[in-house]
Amino acid sequence: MGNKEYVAIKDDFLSKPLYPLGDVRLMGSRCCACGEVFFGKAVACQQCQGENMEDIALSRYGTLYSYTIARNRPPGDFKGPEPFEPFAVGLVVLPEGIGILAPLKGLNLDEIKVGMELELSIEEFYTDEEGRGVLAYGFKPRKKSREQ
Amino acid sequence: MREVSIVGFGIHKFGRFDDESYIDIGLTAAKMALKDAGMNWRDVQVAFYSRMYLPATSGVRTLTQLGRTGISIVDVEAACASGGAALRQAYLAIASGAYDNALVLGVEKMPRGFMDPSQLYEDWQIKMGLSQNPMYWAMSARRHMEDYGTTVEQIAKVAVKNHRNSVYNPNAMYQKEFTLEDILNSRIVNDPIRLLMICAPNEGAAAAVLCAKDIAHRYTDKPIDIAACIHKVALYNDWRVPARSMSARVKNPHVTELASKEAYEAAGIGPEDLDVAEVQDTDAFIELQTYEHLGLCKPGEGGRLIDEGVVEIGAKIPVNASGGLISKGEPIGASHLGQIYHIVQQLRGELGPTQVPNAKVGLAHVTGAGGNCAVTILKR
Repeated sequence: MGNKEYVAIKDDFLSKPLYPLGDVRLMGSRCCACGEVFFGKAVACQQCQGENMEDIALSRYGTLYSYTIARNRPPGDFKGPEPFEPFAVGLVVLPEGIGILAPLKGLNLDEIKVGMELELSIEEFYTDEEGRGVLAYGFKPRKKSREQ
Repeated sequence: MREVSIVGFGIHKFGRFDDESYIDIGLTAAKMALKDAGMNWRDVQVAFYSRMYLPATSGVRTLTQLGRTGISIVDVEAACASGGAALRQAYLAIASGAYDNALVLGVEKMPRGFMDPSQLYEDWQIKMGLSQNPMYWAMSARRHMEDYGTTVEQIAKVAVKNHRNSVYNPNAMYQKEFTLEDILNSRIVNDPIRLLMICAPNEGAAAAVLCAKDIAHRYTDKPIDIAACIHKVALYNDWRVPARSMSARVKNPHVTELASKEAYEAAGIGPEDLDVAEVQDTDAFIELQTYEHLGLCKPGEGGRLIDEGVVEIGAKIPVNASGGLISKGEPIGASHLGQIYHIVQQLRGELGPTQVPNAKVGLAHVTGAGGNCAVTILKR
Protein backbone atom coordinates (compact mmCIF):
# COMPACT_ATOMS: atom_id res chain seq x y z
CA MET A 1 0.00 0.00 0.00
CA GLY A 2 2.99 2.33 0.06
CA ASN A 3 2.68 5.20 2.52
CA LYS A 4 -0.86 6.07 1.63
CA GLU A 5 -3.39 6.01 4.41
CA TYR A 6 -6.93 4.76 3.75
CA VAL A 7 -10.24 5.72 5.36
CA ALA A 8 -13.71 4.26 4.77
CA ILE A 9 -16.36 6.50 3.19
CA LYS A 10 -18.42 5.62 6.27
CA ASP A 11 -16.41 4.18 9.11
CA ASP A 12 -18.87 1.50 10.30
CA PHE A 13 -19.48 0.10 6.79
CA LEU A 14 -16.06 -1.55 6.22
CA SER A 15 -14.07 -4.15 8.16
CA LYS A 16 -10.61 -3.30 9.54
CA PRO A 17 -7.81 -3.25 8.58
CA LEU A 18 -8.50 -1.39 5.32
CA TYR A 19 -5.70 -3.24 3.48
CA PRO A 20 -5.21 -5.32 1.50
CA LEU A 21 -8.35 -4.11 -0.27
CA GLY A 22 -9.25 -7.65 -1.33
CA ASP A 23 -9.73 -8.67 2.31
CA VAL A 24 -12.04 -5.78 3.26
CA ARG A 25 -15.67 -6.81 3.89
CA LEU A 26 -18.92 -4.93 4.40
CA MET A 27 -19.97 -4.82 8.05
CA GLY A 28 -23.45 -5.26 9.45
CA SER A 29 -25.36 -5.59 12.71
CA ARG A 30 -27.49 -8.63 13.51
CA CYS A 31 -30.34 -8.54 15.98
CA CYS A 32 -29.73 -11.21 18.63
CA ALA A 33 -33.50 -11.51 19.20
CA CYS A 34 -35.02 -11.83 15.71
CA GLY A 35 -31.96 -12.33 13.49
CA GLU A 36 -32.65 -9.35 11.21
CA VAL A 37 -29.44 -7.95 9.66
CA PHE A 38 -28.70 -4.27 9.00
CA PHE A 39 -25.97 -2.53 7.01
CA GLY A 40 -23.45 -0.73 9.22
CA LYS A 41 -23.75 -0.17 12.95
CA ALA A 42 -27.35 -0.30 14.20
CA VAL A 43 -28.13 0.73 17.78
CA ALA A 44 -31.41 -1.20 17.76
CA CYS A 45 -33.38 -3.54 15.50
CA GLN A 46 -35.73 -1.65 13.17
CA GLN A 47 -37.91 -4.74 12.89
CA CYS A 48 -38.38 -5.90 16.53
CA GLN A 49 -36.86 -2.94 18.45
CA GLY A 50 -34.43 -5.30 20.22
CA GLU A 51 -31.37 -3.50 21.57
CA ASN A 52 -28.98 -6.44 21.66
CA MET A 53 -27.07 -6.23 18.36
CA GLU A 54 -23.91 -8.04 17.24
CA ASP A 55 -21.40 -6.97 14.59
CA ILE A 56 -21.03 -9.32 11.62
CA ALA A 57 -18.98 -9.28 8.43
CA LEU A 58 -21.33 -9.59 5.44
CA SER A 59 -20.90 -12.02 2.55
CA ARG A 60 -18.88 -10.99 -0.44
CA TYR A 61 -21.34 -12.44 -2.99
CA GLY A 62 -24.92 -11.57 -3.84
CA THR A 63 -27.58 -11.34 -6.56
CA LEU A 64 -29.12 -8.29 -8.19
CA TYR A 65 -32.69 -7.56 -6.98
CA SER A 66 -33.27 -4.33 -8.92
CA TYR A 67 -31.28 -1.55 -10.58
CA THR A 68 -31.32 1.77 -12.37
CA ILE A 69 -28.86 4.02 -14.14
CA ALA A 70 -27.86 7.52 -13.06
CA ARG A 71 -27.96 9.39 -16.38
CA ASN A 72 -27.29 12.79 -14.85
CA ARG A 73 -24.59 14.01 -12.51
CA PRO A 74 -25.86 13.70 -8.93
CA PRO A 75 -26.30 17.05 -7.17
CA GLY A 76 -23.97 18.40 -4.49
CA ASP A 77 -20.52 17.10 -3.54
CA PHE A 78 -20.45 14.01 -5.80
CA LYS A 79 -16.95 12.49 -5.86
CA GLY A 80 -17.27 10.24 -8.92
CA PRO A 81 -15.05 10.51 -12.00
CA GLU A 82 -14.95 13.77 -13.98
CA PRO A 83 -16.22 14.35 -16.56
CA PHE A 84 -19.37 12.59 -15.38
CA GLU A 85 -20.11 9.18 -16.87
CA PRO A 86 -23.53 7.49 -16.40
CA PHE A 87 -23.30 4.73 -13.79
CA ALA A 88 -25.52 1.91 -12.54
CA VAL A 89 -26.91 1.50 -9.03
CA GLY A 90 -28.57 -1.64 -7.73
CA LEU A 91 -29.91 -3.43 -4.71
CA VAL A 92 -27.75 -6.49 -4.13
CA VAL A 93 -29.21 -9.27 -1.96
CA LEU A 94 -26.70 -11.13 0.24
CA PRO A 95 -27.17 -14.59 1.80
CA GLU A 96 -27.68 -12.97 5.25
CA GLY A 97 -31.07 -11.76 4.02
CA ILE A 98 -30.16 -8.13 3.43
CA GLY A 99 -30.09 -6.10 0.23
CA ILE A 100 -27.36 -3.45 -0.04
CA LEU A 101 -27.87 -0.36 -2.20
CA ALA A 102 -24.62 0.08 -4.10
CA PRO A 103 -23.04 1.30 -7.33
CA LEU A 104 -22.52 -1.47 -9.90
CA LYS A 105 -19.01 -1.63 -11.36
CA GLY A 106 -17.19 -3.25 -14.26
CA LEU A 107 -20.16 -3.95 -16.46
CA ASN A 108 -21.85 -2.71 -19.60
CA LEU A 109 -24.89 -0.59 -18.75
CA ASP A 110 -27.02 -2.47 -21.31
CA GLU A 111 -26.05 -5.91 -20.01
CA ILE A 112 -27.47 -5.56 -16.49
CA LYS A 113 -30.05 -8.19 -15.57
CA VAL A 114 -32.11 -8.68 -12.43
CA GLY A 115 -30.86 -11.90 -10.81
CA MET A 116 -27.26 -11.60 -12.07
CA GLU A 117 -24.54 -12.76 -9.68
CA LEU A 118 -22.30 -10.10 -8.24
CA GLU A 119 -19.32 -9.79 -5.92
CA LEU A 120 -18.10 -7.05 -3.61
CA SER A 121 -15.68 -4.48 -4.98
CA ILE A 122 -13.78 -2.19 -2.58
CA GLU A 123 -12.03 0.63 -4.40
CA GLU A 124 -10.28 3.88 -3.67
CA PHE A 125 -12.99 6.34 -4.71
CA TYR A 126 -11.23 9.69 -4.24
CA THR A 127 -8.43 11.34 -2.24
CA ASP A 128 -9.57 13.53 0.65
CA GLU A 129 -8.15 16.92 1.68
CA GLU A 130 -5.61 15.23 3.95
CA GLY A 131 -4.27 13.08 1.12
CA ARG A 132 -5.93 9.89 2.36
CA GLY A 133 -7.53 7.40 -0.02
CA VAL A 134 -11.25 7.19 0.68
CA LEU A 135 -12.54 3.65 0.15
CA ALA A 136 -16.05 3.08 -1.18
CA TYR A 137 -17.97 -0.11 -1.92
CA GLY A 138 -19.70 -1.41 -4.99
CA PHE A 139 -20.54 -4.72 -6.65
CA LYS A 140 -19.16 -6.12 -9.91
CA PRO A 141 -20.07 -9.22 -11.96
CA ARG A 142 -18.99 -12.37 -10.12
CA LYS A 143 -16.01 -14.12 -11.66
CA LYS A 144 -16.69 -17.71 -12.69
CA SER A 145 -14.54 -20.11 -10.66
CA ARG A 146 -12.61 -21.41 -13.69
CA GLU A 147 -11.34 -17.87 -14.29
CA GLN A 148 -10.08 -17.46 -10.73
CA MET B 1 -64.20 12.81 19.70
CA ARG B 2 -66.13 15.54 17.87
CA GLU B 3 -66.72 15.42 14.13
CA VAL B 4 -64.80 17.99 12.08
CA SER B 5 -65.69 19.80 8.85
CA ILE B 6 -63.87 21.89 6.26
CA VAL B 7 -65.76 25.16 5.83
CA GLY B 8 -63.33 27.21 3.76
CA PHE B 9 -60.63 26.61 1.21
CA GLY B 10 -58.02 28.73 -0.55
CA ILE B 11 -55.20 28.12 -2.99
CA HIS B 12 -52.29 29.89 -4.61
CA LYS B 13 -51.53 28.44 -8.04
CA PHE B 14 -48.62 25.95 -8.14
CA GLY B 15 -45.69 27.02 -10.33
CA ARG B 16 -42.78 29.48 -10.25
CA PHE B 17 -43.30 32.99 -8.92
CA ASP B 18 -40.08 34.99 -8.82
CA ASP B 19 -41.81 38.17 -7.70
CA GLU B 20 -43.54 36.64 -4.68
CA SER B 21 -42.04 35.59 -1.35
CA TYR B 22 -43.27 32.52 0.51
CA ILE B 23 -45.12 34.95 2.77
CA ASP B 24 -46.95 36.49 -0.22
CA ILE B 25 -47.82 33.06 -1.60
CA GLY B 26 -49.05 31.79 1.77
CA LEU B 27 -51.14 34.88 2.51
CA THR B 28 -52.96 34.57 -0.84
CA ALA B 29 -54.18 31.07 0.08
CA ALA B 30 -54.89 31.92 3.74
CA LYS B 31 -56.96 35.01 2.93
CA MET B 32 -58.93 33.14 0.25
CA ALA B 33 -59.72 30.34 2.72
CA LEU B 34 -60.85 32.75 5.44
CA LYS B 35 -63.02 34.62 2.91
CA ASP B 36 -64.50 31.35 1.66
CA ALA B 37 -65.46 30.48 5.26
CA GLY B 38 -66.62 34.01 6.02
CA MET B 39 -64.31 33.94 9.04
CA ASN B 40 -62.12 36.75 10.36
CA TRP B 41 -58.47 36.06 11.21
CA ARG B 42 -59.10 37.44 14.72
CA ASP B 43 -61.53 34.54 15.30
CA VAL B 44 -59.12 31.75 14.30
CA GLN B 45 -58.16 29.78 17.42
CA VAL B 46 -55.08 27.81 16.29
CA ALA B 47 -53.02 27.44 13.10
CA PHE B 48 -50.80 24.69 11.68
CA TYR B 49 -48.40 25.51 8.84
CA SER B 50 -46.83 22.78 6.73
CA ARG B 51 -43.59 23.33 4.80
CA MET B 52 -40.27 21.60 4.21
CA TYR B 53 -37.86 24.00 2.50
CA LEU B 54 -38.71 27.23 4.35
CA PRO B 55 -36.89 28.90 7.25
CA ALA B 56 -37.59 28.63 10.97
CA THR B 57 -41.04 29.59 12.24
CA SER B 58 -42.34 30.38 8.74
CA GLY B 59 -45.90 30.01 9.97
CA VAL B 60 -45.53 32.85 12.47
CA ARG B 61 -43.71 34.99 9.91
CA THR B 62 -46.52 34.47 7.39
CA LEU B 63 -49.71 34.53 9.44
CA THR B 64 -48.86 37.34 11.88
CA GLN B 65 -48.89 39.64 8.82
CA LEU B 66 -52.67 39.40 9.30
CA GLY B 67 -52.31 40.66 12.87
CA ARG B 68 -50.87 39.34 16.12
CA THR B 69 -53.70 37.68 18.01
CA GLY B 70 -51.55 35.57 20.31
CA ILE B 71 -52.79 32.18 19.04
CA SER B 72 -50.57 29.11 18.70
CA ILE B 73 -49.04 28.87 15.20
CA VAL B 74 -46.94 25.75 14.67
CA ASP B 75 -44.81 24.67 11.70
CA VAL B 76 -45.18 20.99 10.74
CA GLU B 77 -42.74 19.01 8.59
CA ALA B 78 -43.15 15.41 7.44
CA ALA B 79 -41.52 15.45 3.97
CA CYS B 80 -44.06 14.85 1.16
CA ALA B 81 -46.74 14.18 3.79
CA SER B 82 -46.24 17.53 5.57
CA GLY B 83 -49.68 18.84 4.57
CA GLY B 84 -51.35 15.66 5.82
CA ALA B 85 -49.51 15.84 9.14
CA ALA B 86 -50.58 19.49 9.60
CA LEU B 87 -54.18 18.74 8.64
CA ARG B 88 -54.20 15.89 11.17
CA GLN B 89 -52.95 18.20 13.94
CA ALA B 90 -55.78 20.65 13.20
CA TYR B 91 -58.31 17.81 12.96
CA LEU B 92 -57.21 16.38 16.34
CA ALA B 93 -57.16 19.83 17.93
CA ILE B 94 -60.86 20.26 17.12
CA ALA B 95 -61.93 16.62 17.51
CA SER B 96 -60.46 16.59 21.04
CA GLY B 97 -62.53 19.61 22.04
CA ALA B 98 -59.50 21.79 22.74
CA TYR B 99 -60.47 24.21 19.95
CA ASP B 100 -63.59 24.93 17.90
CA ASN B 101 -61.78 25.98 14.72
CA ALA B 102 -58.35 25.90 13.10
CA LEU B 103 -56.54 27.19 10.02
CA VAL B 104 -54.23 24.84 8.11
CA LEU B 105 -51.85 26.45 5.63
CA GLY B 106 -49.37 24.56 3.45
CA VAL B 107 -46.73 26.67 1.71
CA GLU B 108 -43.60 25.94 -0.27
CA LYS B 109 -41.07 27.92 -2.24
CA MET B 110 -38.39 25.49 -3.30
CA PRO B 111 -35.02 26.61 -4.66
CA ARG B 112 -34.65 26.41 -8.43
CA GLY B 113 -32.40 23.77 -9.97
CA PHE B 114 -31.34 20.67 -8.11
CA MET B 115 -32.85 20.23 -4.67
CA ASP B 116 -30.21 20.47 -1.94
CA PRO B 117 -29.43 16.76 -1.34
CA SER B 118 -28.32 17.36 2.28
CA GLN B 119 -32.00 17.88 3.20
CA LEU B 120 -32.55 14.15 2.69
CA TYR B 121 -29.19 12.39 2.35
CA GLU B 122 -26.12 11.82 4.48
CA ASP B 123 -22.73 13.10 3.38
CA TRP B 124 -21.43 9.68 2.21
CA GLN B 125 -24.56 9.10 0.10
CA ILE B 126 -24.05 12.43 -1.65
CA LYS B 127 -20.35 11.68 -2.28
CA MET B 128 -21.18 8.24 -3.73
CA GLY B 129 -23.97 9.66 -5.90
CA LEU B 130 -26.76 7.67 -4.21
CA SER B 131 -28.62 10.95 -3.75
CA GLN B 132 -31.11 11.19 -6.63
CA ASN B 133 -34.70 10.59 -5.49
CA PRO B 134 -35.81 9.14 -8.86
CA MET B 135 -33.20 6.37 -8.46
CA TYR B 136 -35.27 4.88 -5.66
CA TRP B 137 -38.51 5.26 -7.64
CA ALA B 138 -36.85 3.64 -10.67
CA MET B 139 -35.58 0.61 -8.75
CA SER B 140 -39.01 0.13 -7.20
CA ALA B 141 -40.54 0.25 -10.70
CA ARG B 142 -37.97 -2.15 -12.16
CA ARG B 143 -38.72 -4.72 -9.47
CA HIS B 144 -42.48 -4.42 -10.03
CA MET B 145 -41.88 -5.00 -13.75
CA GLU B 146 -39.84 -8.09 -12.86
CA ASP B 147 -42.38 -9.45 -10.36
CA TYR B 148 -45.63 -8.72 -12.20
CA GLY B 149 -44.78 -8.04 -15.84
CA THR B 150 -45.71 -4.36 -15.54
CA THR B 151 -44.56 -2.51 -18.67
CA VAL B 152 -42.99 0.89 -19.31
CA GLU B 153 -46.01 1.65 -21.53
CA GLN B 154 -48.35 1.10 -18.57
CA ILE B 155 -46.26 3.47 -16.44
CA ALA B 156 -46.29 6.01 -19.27
CA LYS B 157 -50.09 5.75 -19.55
CA VAL B 158 -50.39 7.16 -16.00
CA ALA B 159 -48.45 10.23 -17.15
CA VAL B 160 -50.62 10.53 -20.30
CA LYS B 161 -53.78 10.46 -18.15
CA ASN B 162 -52.57 13.03 -15.61
CA HIS B 163 -51.19 15.45 -18.21
CA ARG B 164 -54.50 15.15 -20.12
CA ASN B 165 -56.52 15.93 -16.97
CA SER B 166 -54.32 18.95 -16.16
CA VAL B 167 -55.65 20.88 -19.17
CA TYR B 168 -58.75 21.72 -17.11
CA ASN B 169 -56.90 22.76 -13.93
CA PRO B 170 -56.02 26.49 -13.90
CA ASN B 171 -53.94 25.98 -10.73
CA ALA B 172 -51.56 23.46 -12.38
CA MET B 173 -47.99 24.43 -13.34
CA TYR B 174 -48.25 22.61 -16.67
CA GLN B 175 -51.53 22.38 -18.56
CA LYS B 176 -50.36 20.45 -21.56
CA GLU B 177 -51.44 17.18 -23.11
CA PHE B 178 -48.78 14.65 -24.19
CA THR B 179 -49.09 11.49 -26.28
CA LEU B 180 -47.80 8.10 -25.16
CA GLU B 181 -44.96 8.55 -27.67
CA ASP B 182 -44.08 11.96 -26.19
CA ILE B 183 -43.78 10.40 -22.73
CA LEU B 184 -41.80 7.37 -23.92
CA ASN B 185 -39.45 9.55 -26.00
CA SER B 186 -38.76 12.09 -23.26
CA ARG B 187 -35.29 12.13 -21.72
CA ILE B 188 -34.35 9.23 -19.43
CA VAL B 189 -33.83 10.37 -15.84
CA ASN B 190 -33.21 7.02 -14.13
CA ASP B 191 -34.11 3.99 -16.27
CA PRO B 192 -36.99 3.19 -16.76
CA ILE B 193 -38.24 6.56 -15.46
CA ARG B 194 -38.35 9.42 -17.98
CA LEU B 195 -38.67 13.16 -17.60
CA LEU B 196 -42.39 13.42 -18.46
CA MET B 197 -43.13 10.68 -15.88
CA ILE B 198 -41.92 12.74 -12.90
CA CYS B 199 -43.06 15.92 -11.20
CA ALA B 200 -41.19 19.18 -10.71
CA PRO B 201 -40.49 20.70 -7.28
CA ASN B 202 -42.00 24.18 -7.28
CA GLU B 203 -43.92 26.84 -5.33
CA GLY B 204 -47.48 27.26 -4.17
CA ALA B 205 -49.84 27.24 -1.22
CA ALA B 206 -53.19 25.82 -0.14
CA ALA B 207 -55.23 26.49 3.00
CA ALA B 208 -58.25 25.03 4.76
CA VAL B 209 -60.46 26.40 7.54
CA LEU B 210 -61.72 23.62 9.81
CA CYS B 211 -64.34 23.72 12.54
CA ALA B 212 -66.43 21.41 14.68
CA LYS B 213 -69.20 19.92 12.52
CA ASP B 214 -71.96 21.14 14.85
CA ILE B 215 -71.05 24.78 14.15
CA ALA B 216 -70.17 24.39 10.43
CA HIS B 217 -73.54 25.87 9.35
CA ARG B 218 -72.37 29.23 10.72
CA TYR B 219 -69.79 29.43 7.94
CA THR B 220 -71.09 27.52 4.91
CA ASP B 221 -74.08 25.64 3.57
CA LYS B 222 -71.74 23.15 1.89
CA PRO B 223 -69.53 21.76 4.69
CA ILE B 224 -67.21 18.89 3.76
CA ASP B 225 -66.65 16.39 6.56
CA ILE B 226 -63.26 14.93 7.42
CA ALA B 227 -64.14 11.23 7.74
CA ALA B 228 -60.50 10.28 8.42
CA CYS B 229 -57.11 11.97 8.51
CA ILE B 230 -54.17 9.63 9.13
CA HIS B 231 -50.42 10.18 9.15
CA LYS B 232 -48.06 7.23 9.53
CA VAL B 233 -44.39 6.38 9.06
CA ALA B 234 -43.34 3.19 7.25
CA LEU B 235 -42.33 0.02 9.05
CA TYR B 236 -38.91 -1.41 8.27
CA ASN B 237 -38.30 -2.37 4.68
CA ASP B 238 -39.57 -0.38 1.76
CA TRP B 239 -38.08 1.70 -1.06
CA ARG B 240 -38.16 4.92 0.91
CA VAL B 241 -35.67 7.68 0.18
CA PRO B 242 -32.90 7.58 1.47
CA ALA B 243 -32.65 3.80 2.00
CA ARG B 244 -29.16 2.36 2.35
CA SER B 245 -30.30 -1.28 2.53
CA MET B 246 -33.48 -3.36 2.63
CA SER B 247 -34.45 -6.61 4.25
CA ALA B 248 -34.70 -9.67 2.03
CA ARG B 249 -36.30 -11.61 4.93
CA VAL B 250 -39.29 -9.61 6.18
CA LYS B 251 -42.17 -8.29 4.09
CA ASN B 252 -44.04 -5.65 6.07
CA PRO B 253 -47.10 -3.95 4.51
CA HIS B 254 -46.35 -0.73 2.62
CA VAL B 255 -47.05 2.43 4.62
CA THR B 256 -49.85 3.36 2.17
CA GLU B 257 -51.55 0.04 3.01
CA LEU B 258 -51.21 0.76 6.73
CA ALA B 259 -52.46 4.35 6.49
CA SER B 260 -55.35 3.63 4.12
CA LYS B 261 -56.52 0.67 6.22
CA GLU B 262 -56.70 2.92 9.28
CA ALA B 263 -58.43 5.62 7.24
CA TYR B 264 -61.04 3.24 5.77
CA GLU B 265 -61.80 1.90 9.26
CA ALA B 266 -62.14 5.40 10.73
CA ALA B 267 -64.43 6.44 7.87
CA GLY B 268 -66.42 3.21 7.99
CA ILE B 269 -65.95 2.62 4.25
CA GLY B 270 -63.88 0.50 1.87
CA PRO B 271 -62.01 1.36 -1.33
CA GLU B 272 -65.10 0.35 -3.35
CA ASP B 273 -66.99 3.30 -1.83
CA LEU B 274 -64.63 5.98 -3.20
CA ASP B 275 -65.95 8.25 -5.96
CA VAL B 276 -62.65 10.05 -6.61
CA ALA B 277 -59.03 9.94 -5.41
CA GLU B 278 -55.93 12.14 -5.56
CA VAL B 279 -52.74 10.14 -4.98
CA GLN B 280 -48.97 10.69 -4.86
CA ASP B 281 -47.60 10.74 -8.39
CA THR B 282 -44.15 12.24 -7.92
CA ASP B 283 -43.42 9.59 -10.53
CA ALA B 284 -45.93 7.78 -12.71
CA PHE B 285 -44.98 4.35 -11.35
CA ILE B 286 -45.82 5.13 -7.74
CA GLU B 287 -49.36 6.07 -8.77
CA LEU B 288 -49.77 2.69 -10.41
CA GLN B 289 -48.45 0.93 -7.30
CA THR B 290 -50.66 3.09 -5.07
CA TYR B 291 -53.77 1.64 -6.80
CA GLU B 292 -52.66 -1.66 -5.28
CA HIS B 293 -51.76 -0.28 -1.85
CA LEU B 294 -55.09 1.58 -1.55
CA GLY B 295 -56.95 -1.62 -2.40
CA LEU B 296 -58.34 -0.34 -5.72
CA CYS B 297 -57.01 -3.60 -7.19
CA LYS B 298 -55.01 -6.65 -6.11
CA PRO B 299 -51.19 -6.63 -5.76
CA GLY B 300 -49.59 -6.63 -9.21
CA GLU B 301 -52.73 -5.46 -11.02
CA GLY B 302 -51.90 -1.73 -11.18
CA GLY B 303 -50.90 -2.06 -14.83
CA ARG B 304 -54.19 -3.75 -15.69
CA LEU B 305 -56.13 -0.97 -13.98
CA ILE B 306 -54.55 1.72 -16.16
CA ASP B 307 -54.95 -0.46 -19.29
CA GLU B 308 -58.67 -0.89 -18.58
CA GLY B 309 -59.18 2.83 -18.01
CA VAL B 310 -60.75 2.28 -14.58
CA VAL B 311 -58.97 5.36 -13.19
CA GLU B 312 -60.00 7.76 -15.98
CA ILE B 313 -62.53 10.57 -15.57
CA GLY B 314 -65.95 9.08 -16.30
CA ALA B 315 -64.88 5.58 -15.22
CA LYS B 316 -65.26 3.72 -11.90
CA ILE B 317 -62.67 5.55 -9.78
CA PRO B 318 -61.04 8.62 -11.36
CA VAL B 319 -57.52 9.08 -9.94
CA ASN B 320 -55.72 12.43 -10.16
CA ALA B 321 -58.49 14.13 -12.10
CA SER B 322 -56.73 17.37 -11.08
CA GLY B 323 -53.74 16.43 -13.25
CA GLY B 324 -51.80 15.13 -10.25
CA LEU B 325 -48.41 16.34 -9.07
CA ILE B 326 -46.99 15.39 -12.48
CA SER B 327 -48.73 18.43 -13.94
CA LYS B 328 -49.26 20.61 -10.86
CA GLY B 329 -45.71 20.24 -9.58
CA GLU B 330 -44.94 19.37 -5.96
CA PRO B 331 -44.65 22.30 -3.56
CA ILE B 332 -43.99 19.83 -0.78
CA GLY B 333 -45.62 21.60 2.17
CA ALA B 334 -48.71 22.40 0.08
CA SER B 335 -49.15 19.26 -2.03
CA HIS B 336 -51.58 17.32 0.21
CA LEU B 337 -53.72 20.42 0.83
CA GLY B 338 -53.77 20.98 -2.94
CA GLN B 339 -55.18 17.47 -3.30
CA ILE B 340 -57.73 18.25 -0.58
CA TYR B 341 -58.73 21.37 -2.55
CA HIS B 342 -59.52 19.26 -5.61
CA ILE B 343 -61.54 16.76 -3.56
CA VAL B 344 -63.44 19.61 -1.85
CA GLN B 345 -64.29 21.02 -5.30
CA GLN B 346 -65.41 17.57 -6.46
CA LEU B 347 -67.67 17.09 -3.43
CA ARG B 348 -69.09 20.62 -3.75
CA GLY B 349 -69.71 19.98 -7.46
CA GLU B 350 -67.72 23.03 -8.57
CA LEU B 351 -65.67 21.59 -11.43
CA GLY B 352 -66.15 21.57 -15.19
CA PRO B 353 -65.08 18.71 -17.48
CA THR B 354 -63.24 16.96 -14.62
CA GLN B 355 -66.29 16.88 -12.33
CA VAL B 356 -67.24 13.40 -11.13
CA PRO B 357 -71.08 13.44 -11.19
CA ASN B 358 -72.62 13.34 -7.72
CA ALA B 359 -69.28 12.67 -5.97
CA LYS B 360 -69.86 11.98 -2.27
CA VAL B 361 -66.61 10.41 -0.98
CA GLY B 362 -63.04 11.29 -1.93
CA LEU B 363 -59.58 10.24 -0.78
CA ALA B 364 -56.26 12.11 -0.85
CA HIS B 365 -52.91 10.34 -0.43
CA VAL B 366 -49.29 11.44 -0.17
CA THR B 367 -46.14 9.51 0.66
CA GLY B 368 -42.44 10.25 0.48
CA ALA B 369 -39.07 10.54 2.15
CA GLY B 370 -38.51 8.70 5.41
CA GLY B 371 -41.62 6.60 4.75
CA ASN B 372 -43.99 9.46 5.65
CA CYS B 373 -47.54 8.89 4.42
CA ALA B 374 -50.87 10.65 4.89
CA VAL B 375 -54.36 9.54 3.84
CA THR B 376 -57.39 11.80 4.22
CA ILE B 377 -60.97 10.79 3.41
CA LEU B 378 -63.56 13.51 2.86
CA LYS B 379 -67.35 13.10 2.67
CA ARG B 380 -70.32 15.34 2.07
